[in-house]
Parts: sequence; C-alpha cells; structure tokens
Amino acid sequence: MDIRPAEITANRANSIVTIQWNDGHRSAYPFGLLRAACPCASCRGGHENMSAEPDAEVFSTVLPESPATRIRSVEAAGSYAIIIEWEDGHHYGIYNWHYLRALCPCEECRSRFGEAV
Amino acid sequence: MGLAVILCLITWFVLVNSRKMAPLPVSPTSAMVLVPPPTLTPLPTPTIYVSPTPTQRPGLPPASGGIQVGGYVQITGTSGAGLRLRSGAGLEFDPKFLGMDSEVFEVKEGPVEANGITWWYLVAPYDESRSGWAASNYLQIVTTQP
Ligand SMILES: [Zn+2]
Ligand SMILES: [Zn+2]
Repeated sequence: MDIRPAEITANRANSIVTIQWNDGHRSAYPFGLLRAACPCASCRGGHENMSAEPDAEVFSTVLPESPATRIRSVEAAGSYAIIIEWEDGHHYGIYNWHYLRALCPCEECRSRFGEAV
Repeated sequence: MGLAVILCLITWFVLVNSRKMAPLPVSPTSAMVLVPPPTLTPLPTPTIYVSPTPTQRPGLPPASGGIQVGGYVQITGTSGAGLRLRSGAGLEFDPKFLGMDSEVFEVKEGPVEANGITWWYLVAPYDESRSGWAASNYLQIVTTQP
C-alpha cells in the first residue's frame, strides 16, 4: 500500500504535530523533533550527506523553546510532502511522506527504521 | 464550363467558412488531459490543520520541574535505549514497554516519589494501551507557546 497521511494537525497549544496515516497508524511529533530533523540541505550538512531517512541523532536532539521551534504554517507540497515554515523564517525543509513516517518516534516505527540508521 | 466554375466557387466558399467557424479541435491543455501519463494521476492531498496560536498559556505556570498533569512530555536522553514505562510508580514494578527518545506522551497522573525518583503516569496520544509510570529524569516537557 502507498502509505500517506490522511490528516495532519499542527497543534500550537501543545507544540505537537499529529499525523493520521492511511494505514491506521498515528504519529505524534514534538515541534522540536521536526525542526531538529529539518530535511533541507543546509540543515543536513549538504546533499552528499542526505539519506531518505532521518539521521538517528535527531531523536536525541532537544531544541530549546524559540522561534526556531514554533511552527508558523504547514503547506502541502504537491501530494507527496509538506513544507513547514518556522517562526524564525526557515522554510526550506520538504518533509515527504516516507521521511515523516521514518521520523515517527513511536517504539514500533523506531524498531523498524532504527536498524537502518 | 460556367457550371463547373460555380461549383468550384461554392465548394471553396463552404470549405473556407467551415474552417473559419470550426474551433481548434483541442487546446494544448485539453490534449494533455486527454492523454495523461499514469504517474500524473493526482493523488489525494491530506487535510492540514494548523491551530491558532493560543492567546494565553492555558492553566497555571508549570510546577517546578515543568511537568504537570495534562501537559505533554517527550522522552529524552536514553541514547536510543528507550525508557521503561512500568505498571507502577517504582523500580519494583514490571516494565510494560519501552518509550523511545522523542516519543510524546500525555501526563495523566503524578507525581509519585519512589526509590528517590519522581514518577509520572503517561499515556501515548491515540493509544491508551501505551501507558505506564515513567521516571522524570528522562522526561522533557514539550514546550507550549508563551
Ligand atoms: Zn532546514
Ligand atoms: Zn510510529
């Protein structure tokens, strides 16, 4: 099955983005995790370092509360990804569905994707 | 001869006028729609909600340590090993499952002091079965808007 989100909610009251996937799975991402895992080339240290999955370190990265970890807007990029704009103006990260699913911090997903990274 | 010329003129007249009146059969755009490559079939876009920024912090400022019932925490600092969520507040209780770094939980109960550790009862959003008591040492509040 082509796994894709059915619904994406960015809740600025608790700083959590939730994704309801079309296979029934639900993911909850702290805003700070999404920022730490920004998939843009400059945040990931250049194109040569970029893989299709997030780097393992992002899960243990804790970013302090700042405009960099506050979401200003979330927009669809075609039908394959979202672009998150942060309150510090950063908006270069294109989070595709595969990347987002691999970024799900739940135990089930971490044990599946965690081995590869 | 004269009849042939008239016939020719009529044929020419009809042809010219039918060309003028008939619109182009298909515009470039509609031609593309008629023969779409299979990969261009539009896929559904998810519904995206972004809640408005709260005008004021809900509730009272967090107690010391920042964690409070009703708030959200994420697991941190386990270096990928995960944090045991237990059936009770204390090291003597059996672990139910592992919470992973960055995994988010809602705080439902606590704090309880045991074994020199502060314990909070956590429940995963959307999965009530993923719940248990966790040591606060590996919990970090998920920040809320000031
Ligand atoms: Zn970036
Ligand atoms: Zn997951």
